Amino acid sequence: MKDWWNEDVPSFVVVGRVNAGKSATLATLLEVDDDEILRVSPTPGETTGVQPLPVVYDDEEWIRFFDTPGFQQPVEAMREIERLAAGGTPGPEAVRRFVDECGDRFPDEVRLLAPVAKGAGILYVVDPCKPLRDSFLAEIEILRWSGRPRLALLNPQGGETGHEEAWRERLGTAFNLVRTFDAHAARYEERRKLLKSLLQVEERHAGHIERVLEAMEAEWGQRREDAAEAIVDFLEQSLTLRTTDALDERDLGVPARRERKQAALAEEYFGKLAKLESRCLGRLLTIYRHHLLEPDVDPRRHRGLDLATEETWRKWGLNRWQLTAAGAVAGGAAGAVFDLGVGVHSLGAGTIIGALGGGTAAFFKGGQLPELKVKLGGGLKLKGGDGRSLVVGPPASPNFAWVLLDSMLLRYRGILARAHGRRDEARLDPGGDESIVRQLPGDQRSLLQKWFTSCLKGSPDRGREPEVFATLVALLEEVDG
Amino acid sequence: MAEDSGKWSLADLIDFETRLAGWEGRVDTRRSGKRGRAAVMRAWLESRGEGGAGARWVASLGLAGVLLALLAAIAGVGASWGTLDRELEGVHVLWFLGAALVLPWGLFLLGLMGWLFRGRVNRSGLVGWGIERLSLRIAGKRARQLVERVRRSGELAKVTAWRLARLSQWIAAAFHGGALAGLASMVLFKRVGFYWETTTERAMEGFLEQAVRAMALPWSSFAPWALPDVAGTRRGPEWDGGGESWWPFLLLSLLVWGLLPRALLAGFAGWRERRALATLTFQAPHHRRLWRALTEVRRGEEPEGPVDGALVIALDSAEPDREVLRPFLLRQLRMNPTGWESLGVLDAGREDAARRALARAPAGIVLFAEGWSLAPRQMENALREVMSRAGERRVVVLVDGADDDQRTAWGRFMDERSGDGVELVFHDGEEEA
Repeated sequence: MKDWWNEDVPSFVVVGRVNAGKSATLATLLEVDDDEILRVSPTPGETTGVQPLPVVYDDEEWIRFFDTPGFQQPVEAMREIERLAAGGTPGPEAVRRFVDECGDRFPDEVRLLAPVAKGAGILYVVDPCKPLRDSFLAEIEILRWSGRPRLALLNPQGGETGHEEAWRERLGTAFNLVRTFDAHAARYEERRKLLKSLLQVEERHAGHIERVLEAMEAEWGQRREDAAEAIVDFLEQSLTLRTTDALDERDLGVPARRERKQAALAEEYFGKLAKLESRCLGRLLTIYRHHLLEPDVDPRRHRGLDLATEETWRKWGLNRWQLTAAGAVAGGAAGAVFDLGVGVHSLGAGTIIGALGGGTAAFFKGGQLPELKVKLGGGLKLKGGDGRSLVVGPPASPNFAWVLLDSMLLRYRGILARAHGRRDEARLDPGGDESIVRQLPGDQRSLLQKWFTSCLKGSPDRGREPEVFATLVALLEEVDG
Repeated sequence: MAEDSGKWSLADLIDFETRLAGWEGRVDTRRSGKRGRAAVMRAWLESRGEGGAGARWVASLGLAGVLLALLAAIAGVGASWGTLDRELEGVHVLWFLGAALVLPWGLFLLGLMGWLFRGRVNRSGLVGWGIERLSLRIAGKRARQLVERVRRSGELAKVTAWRLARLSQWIAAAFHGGALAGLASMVLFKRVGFYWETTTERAMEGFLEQAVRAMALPWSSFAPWALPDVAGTRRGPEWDGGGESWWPFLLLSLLVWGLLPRALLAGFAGWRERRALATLTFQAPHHRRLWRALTEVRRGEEPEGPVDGALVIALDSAEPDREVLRPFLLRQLRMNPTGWESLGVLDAGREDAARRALARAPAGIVLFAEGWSLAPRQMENALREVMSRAGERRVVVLVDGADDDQRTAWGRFMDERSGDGVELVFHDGEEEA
């Protein structure tokens, strides 16, 4: 660690009691869920040395954090610093001497105070669920003596937070700012706020911190667009997906053979759909820097997107009345075109019949289980059944596309809700969440429905795709919030 | 190109698309996304040099529009004069209305239908598919790429469509204007009569009276003189000119139902074009690629691996209990075991792996031994090998399950090598010595 310190880069050292959640705080703040880099564990003492964590954007380091081992003997260290001050009020000089001279007796304290002695700002992490003991007071005192910019973070680790007021009161006397930051639940907005708080305590490097904030916001916007692109790609590929197989004379003549082939194609269809889904979720996880979350997609069980379960079709996608309205609008529009075509001599009958037909079909078909469309393709019958093929997919229900979109949005929300400080491996399961697409305003539903229809017909509307993309970006922004 | 970075024109948009088509995928200057897409794309376009096909294309379009409008005006005059029966010196008003008003609006309706059905035309079966394929084959590869590009860039297609719509309305207005001029010239210079004829008894007369009343609604209240005498102008065998009451009606009809709505439609199309240009979102896939390249903020890679990673090397095929040793190493020695290897074993591959791992452990090396089971020379060799590669790294000899005699032996052995800076630590279950 020869170049662990750089005067030109604003640095902040994360300190606190062993197992206070320092590493988890940094992991969440910097979105690192790799235990190789930041070890987060319920076992105390996982962090043994000072780990520099540079924040690099565009190949330039703009800010640096240090993860530290945590205080092990704060009371004794405080006494030692007081002794080094030789009766006077201890200050930065005494802390520096402590770092220089007491490495043997206080290895952990010296390690964590070394960057502080060099000039790093302090992020002091405490668990407000624990009572404010003397040892904590000693830590607070030592940090106060350092004279560096100080921000205290209350990181509740479960249980009663009945001591929070006492903590706030005490920390308020020794720290420039006190903030709450739940390292196991904080999302983008909380992370941004925490970085913004650094601006308030460290004026000298305001420019650097502001640049980090700007870059962070820009990158977040990029991620949202990348996610929208992944979802658009997934929807397009899924809605145009078909499985097909040639039929011979015997397949056409023996119904059982044809049904077997149909069943095999249906299985292949769902297998391919699961792969597409898995690829999209993988892209989303990469975009949001998650390695411990796993897309829960199994073509056999379809737990991720359980298309074979009736509940999926009830819970996700549009409800029956929304589907009916969407169907009526689409049918009415087609009828209106007919009315215009005949110079309105049909007196609007086309619009009415189209709306009624579209609405009725959607009403009755919308709740259907996902029966796959089966088509006997190839009109030309050459020798003995050659040229005929069986085409399977997509599901006939008009809700299919909405179910796909909903399931992806719900998992997107799950990805955003997962803090990087957590180290439990988990599966991305949309579970019992409520539908998101049902909350969409009518104009967005209508736009998406038109695009879905074009995709389901096998020819995605390229002209409409940019609008669909923009709508999805806005939708993801809402999910973010 | 306009100075105002917020404003786009059709020519700019065409330039942008053509330059983007030849874009090699690299950008020289990064830009802040805060300025918005339209401004960033504009700046990129300007950085790629002035001028381009856009201005030429728009000028050609304008010129073509003027020529077509001129042709349409001549056609309008021709349509008016074409309804004149030179023998009778009279104009058949139904033919006149049909040629000067109904036909152009019929074409407009057809165009509108085409636009409404635009998404379905190419999927209208084998014929539609065949026509599309054939036309693209004839047009060639470059045209095919251009069509695909315009199709994918919905915004350019939209702006171009509104520009074409505006032009088409001005061309149609020129036609109505030509018809109006033709009518005026016939009235002024030929003093023609106006008539209508039918084979039906009353049906056509009734229909025409209703149609005339409906068409004259906008002016009938203040200009009743511009209402024609329908019944009196029906041409019978004895018709001999007259019907002058028709020409003010026809003139006003051309103005109110021809020129005025065309001008309004042209104005509407122009407003939609401006609005489309003012609200460009640049969200097509190739726009997004460019946007990303221009504004992407690249987050740097995380530091590699743990900086406190220590390598544990078991000697003489000892098998350390990792679950027990890990917390001991972390808390007592403040070393984080990230690699577990063996030395002094029969498997040469494992020995090589241990030697390679020696180079990678950043924080320290732990030599693990059980009791005093090693020959001193073997231990010396192992230590020498480790020390030769350790550099400034911390080296610890960790002895597990040693009794008092073995501890003494180890202590003596290490005392003889006190200059090496190797630490000796005993571990016995959960206790340290």
